[in-house]
Amino acid sequence: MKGAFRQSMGWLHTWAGLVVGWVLFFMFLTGTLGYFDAEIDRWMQPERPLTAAAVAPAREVAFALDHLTKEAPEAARWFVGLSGDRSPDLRVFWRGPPGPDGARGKSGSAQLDPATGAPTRYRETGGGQLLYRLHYRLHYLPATTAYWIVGVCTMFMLIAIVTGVIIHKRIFRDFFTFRPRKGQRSWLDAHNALSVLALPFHLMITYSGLIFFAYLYMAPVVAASYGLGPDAQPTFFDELFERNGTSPPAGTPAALTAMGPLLKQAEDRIGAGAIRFLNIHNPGDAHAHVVIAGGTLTPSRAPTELTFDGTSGALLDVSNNRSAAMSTYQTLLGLHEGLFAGPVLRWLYFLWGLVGTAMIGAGLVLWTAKRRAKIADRLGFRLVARLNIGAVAGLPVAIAAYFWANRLIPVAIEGRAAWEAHAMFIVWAAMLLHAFVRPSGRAWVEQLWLAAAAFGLLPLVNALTTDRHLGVTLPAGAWDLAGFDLTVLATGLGFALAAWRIGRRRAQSERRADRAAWASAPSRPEAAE
Amino acid sequence: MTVLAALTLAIFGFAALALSMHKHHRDVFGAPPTHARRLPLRVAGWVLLGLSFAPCIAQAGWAIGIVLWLGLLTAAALAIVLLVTSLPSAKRRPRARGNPSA
Amino acid sequence: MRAERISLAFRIAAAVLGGYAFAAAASIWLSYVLPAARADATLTGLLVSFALFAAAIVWAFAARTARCAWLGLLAPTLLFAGLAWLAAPNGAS
Repeated sequence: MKGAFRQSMGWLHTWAGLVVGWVLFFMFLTGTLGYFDAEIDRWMQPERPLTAAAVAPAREVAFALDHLTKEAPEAARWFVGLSGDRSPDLRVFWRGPPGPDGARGKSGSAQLDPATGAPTRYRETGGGQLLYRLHYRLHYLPATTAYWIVGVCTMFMLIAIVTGVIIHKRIFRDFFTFRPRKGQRSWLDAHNALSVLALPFHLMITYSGLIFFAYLYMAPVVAASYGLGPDAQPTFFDELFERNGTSPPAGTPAALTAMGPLLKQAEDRIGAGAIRFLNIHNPGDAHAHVVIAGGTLTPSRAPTELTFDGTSGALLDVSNNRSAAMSTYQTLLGLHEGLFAGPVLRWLYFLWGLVGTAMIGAGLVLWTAKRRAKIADRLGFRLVARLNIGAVAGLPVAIAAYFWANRLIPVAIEGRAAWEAHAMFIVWAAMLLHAFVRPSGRAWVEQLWLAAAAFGLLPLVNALTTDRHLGVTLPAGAWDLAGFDLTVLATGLGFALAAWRIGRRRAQSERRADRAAWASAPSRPEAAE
Repeated sequence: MTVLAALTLAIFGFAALALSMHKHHRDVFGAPPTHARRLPLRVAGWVLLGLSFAPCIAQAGWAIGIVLWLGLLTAAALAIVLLVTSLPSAKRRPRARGNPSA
Repeated sequence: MRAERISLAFRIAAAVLGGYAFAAAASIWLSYVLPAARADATLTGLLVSFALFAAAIVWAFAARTARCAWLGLLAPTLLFAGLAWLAAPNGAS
């Protein structure tokens, strides 16, 4: 029985991984880049000032309210996001009152310069945020469709992890084992090492990934307690987040209380400089409420919230305690997002993500390495082999193309943000085509060299098109910007090394095949593909 | 600074654990670990890994500290894998004639 | 060969459909019997549901036969569904 169990788990592991491996590779790579979304945002808007001085929260709030009073005086809710570590802009958002038929009010938003309060005028770009969103929102698909695809793939990943742990023999004995240059064995070693060395991360990121849209995937559980009506889910979330503090507008106008004292009270409680955002419900109405949120970031995500009466300024409520279920939920999501991570931990998250991405890539290549001898001529094998190239080597090229497009598409072009993304997908499609058209071995080497060039030359493109290149950013100590160029350079070198070694090994095996062919003449050798 | 301390402890911890294993000890010292060596190496390895936990909590509190520790463990383990892989395998070293354990 | 394919198809169906049904039923039952506020209990049900689903899928492929896979999932699903129906708070479906 043990043997049959292991065999069936091995089968399940292989198929769960293979069927959605390429989507998972995409999700992992874009998600990993997402940990540096703010830094990538910075690099993709070189018009930003090189360094930005900190602005007092009271001033930022004043700027924001100026803008909001002008743009959306009749709004039901104003949101003010203070500038901070992960977002250099002052962000405002508003939602209008609900329509007569109960439809959600219209919304609007703006990014303001925290120093002047004026709307920012940087080049339009999806930035790092777009890359990050790709990993769960995909592209060119309606939101719910994307969430379902991503959810199914994540479930497959969970099964792959669980079965992987079940079938892995000698986890401890082989913990440090990696035997390079031994073909299939090396790929297995790599896949194993990468899986085990970051196993807590893989498990956490996968399970928490499912939790984000659990209300969708496991809708029957919500429906069982909240019914099937259209407001079942909104009611569930309102109850969960205890969003019953705000009352509907009174209809009588009343001046919004001064923000200064409220901000001071908040900072007294949660620490100076710790305020992150404000929500102002029914501004200008007698039933206005101001909720100030902030506090040190931890994995459990939820900020401390102080609720004030909007006209008198009286402190009404301080939220802090959450149920065990909510804490677990928030912590899982918080660990996934890693927003609490400082610079060191953020790099570690990035490392974990790369390990996960490489684990999936190694698994995909392992599948072909293991079966090449036996079924290399079958359609299924050829499909997998070619998709591997297009995904593992081609996707990085496409991502580099996204950055090239950011520098090369003229700033004034309408819709340039969308076109940056199109560039990425067009290049990816080209890489997939290339992978199917070229001989398999050569396709790998060519795409790896392409990736090496695409990343390695990016700092040069940066220098030729902007003044935010290494020559400027290194002396100025602008580490976010310099770090991007340096990382991209290192990535290019990494791909170059891989391309060189694989190219050399192919040339060696081709020479060996030629010698064998000559030695066994007069029979003609089979093509080495 | 504390992060560096934690990372160093973790690297040495994994190094000790690696050395307690047959193959890796043989690659470094030419022979597998004796019984007398294996247990102390194992204990030392686990103790060092455990010690690396403390600076992480001191630096960042319990919640973030645990995550930081796990991240450093991954980085340290990867470093040891690369180090151990770069050692020439003792199997391929020429054996002295008549001495099967050299 | 064909019989194997059909058997495999049944197993996959058991894993996906039966597994999902089991996870949903058990999670709903849990959300009903937990002594917590409705929203928190529902949330807890959601949190554990995927672990249950994963366990069910592993079972479906570890079971000796495809029929065994189905029965092994159908029985607990019906059990939990019945218990949930009995434990349902007023007004919930």
